[in-house]
Amino acid sequence: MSLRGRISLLGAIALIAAACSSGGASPATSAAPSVAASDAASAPASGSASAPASEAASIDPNSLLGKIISSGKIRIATDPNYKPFSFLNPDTNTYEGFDTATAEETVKRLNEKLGTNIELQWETPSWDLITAGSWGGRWDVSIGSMSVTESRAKVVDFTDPYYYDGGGIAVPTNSTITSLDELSGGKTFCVGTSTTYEQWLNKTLEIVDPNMMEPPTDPQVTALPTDNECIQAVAAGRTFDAIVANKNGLEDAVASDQPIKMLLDKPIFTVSVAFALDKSGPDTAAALDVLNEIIADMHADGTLKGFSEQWLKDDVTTKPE
Amino acid sequence: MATATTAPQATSAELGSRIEDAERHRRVRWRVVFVTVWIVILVALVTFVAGTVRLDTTFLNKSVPFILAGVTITLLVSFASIAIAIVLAILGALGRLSRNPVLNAIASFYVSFFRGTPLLLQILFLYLGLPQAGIVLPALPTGILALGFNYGAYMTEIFRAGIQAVPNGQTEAAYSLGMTDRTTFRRVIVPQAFRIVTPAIGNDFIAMLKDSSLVSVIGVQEILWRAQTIGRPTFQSMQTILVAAMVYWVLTILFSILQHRLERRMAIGDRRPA
Repeated sequence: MSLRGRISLLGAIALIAAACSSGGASPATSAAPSVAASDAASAPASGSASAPASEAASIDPNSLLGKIISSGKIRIATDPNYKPFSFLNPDTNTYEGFDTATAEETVKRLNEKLGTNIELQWETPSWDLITAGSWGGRWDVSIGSMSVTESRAKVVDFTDPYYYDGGGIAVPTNSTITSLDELSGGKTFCVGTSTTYEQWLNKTLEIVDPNMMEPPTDPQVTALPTDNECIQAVAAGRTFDAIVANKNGLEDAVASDQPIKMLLDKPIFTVSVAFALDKSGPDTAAALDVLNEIIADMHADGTLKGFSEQWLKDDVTTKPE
Repeated sequence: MATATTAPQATSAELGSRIEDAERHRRVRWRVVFVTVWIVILVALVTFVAGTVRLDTTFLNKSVPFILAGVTITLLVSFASIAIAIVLAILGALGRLSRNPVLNAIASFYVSFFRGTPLLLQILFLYLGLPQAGIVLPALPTGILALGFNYGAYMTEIFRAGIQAVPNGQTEAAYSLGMTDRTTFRRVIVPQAFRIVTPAIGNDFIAMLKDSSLVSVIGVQEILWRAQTIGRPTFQSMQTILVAAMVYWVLTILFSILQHRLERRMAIGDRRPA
């Protein structure tokens, strides 16, 4: 009797869960602003369709690439709070930026290569959830400015780099600080949470960069959800001695008349930035191969350089010395 | 007219209408003061905000429709979650009132766990934890489940109290009519308990409207997610957050009015015929 009661209770809960998953699934993803994914997913030229189609057929259906092909969509995670890499354009209600353009182009080329008609679907969780790994199949790939670090490589598989990121430091416009040394000894910093810039300040950044600058001593770090909040906090009148963030992002903020100025011309460190795939998910080998081919092609024909110059006013796609 | 001499001779009817007049006068004055205070505070608030936050109308014209589009998602999340919460709360209350130790333990464990941990933590826990058990729900149902389970725990206690608040005499009367335990519960106890807990459900729904903003962390594109995402690229989050605040406020005012009406309707049975 008691067992039956328990089972019926659990059954009811399971039923609710099931009803909810089937009933509520569609708006979660289609509620996004009408993102310009349609052109990326347009059908490839029919002339080249026969040869690549056999390539698609030879892919293991249980691998990540196989699952992407059979579902007809590729779910790409990006944090659309990262201007000028990925952000929402209020004029058009679409995602824009360097990462967005790269992702759309990647899907287009994937379709050309495989003779498929895979659609791009954006997933927009907060940044710290993307870097945490163990995505549990919520999305297939991150094309969202993820820097290659050793600690992240334990939870995700990285492709070859598509650009090279530089960390930058900005100080409030009225700051008297003029060098990195002056930021040592208990100064206050604002960073975006779970970023390489936060790790740099906390001396936990594991990258290979001979030119990485030594972080200031005894930093008092405030980590906000995104580094954008740091800039807005300073603009609103909160005081931080410095903001550590993506150099291009900070320069974009300076150009948008935010009350900050760049402290250094040089990056505090540079690091490869790549697409990331979940290590704990389906086999990524075939997906890595095809994505690496596409990245190599986009480097070779100047596509990435073009995106970089369009969105960052600068070419960040060649490896710095 | 010598009022001093005629006053004592006024009939009781006249006296009654004079008292009514005074009473009506007092009520009107009370309302005037009440509304005036509201307007004064509102004007002060608007003046303060307009003076501190620079409002960019061209930007707002673009961002307000985008934020408003989140109302549907917020309402969907709130209604779906409260529905789940009500079902769980009924099951939970039955469990809490059950003489069966297993059912009682399950129900009290459920209440203890979901009331004992933060809602934001539960949302992240379901979002990150369920996939590791092989269950991959998209963000929206995950958020709805988390909110539903959390509110269900609080409402379990409300429902339990509501069932216990139905007077014993009702049960005894039902028995004397020959009703079984089950029929008594379904036809006598539950309808009355439901009326008792209606105000509390309304209250929880209004709280839910605002707590639904927590699912923005897992990328559900409701009001707050939209306000933040459209505010950041141009460093104007303060304005968009302000818009979001107004939207939530208007929503809660609308639903408070609905709640008030519903409560009045439910209370009809309590009024004695004149």
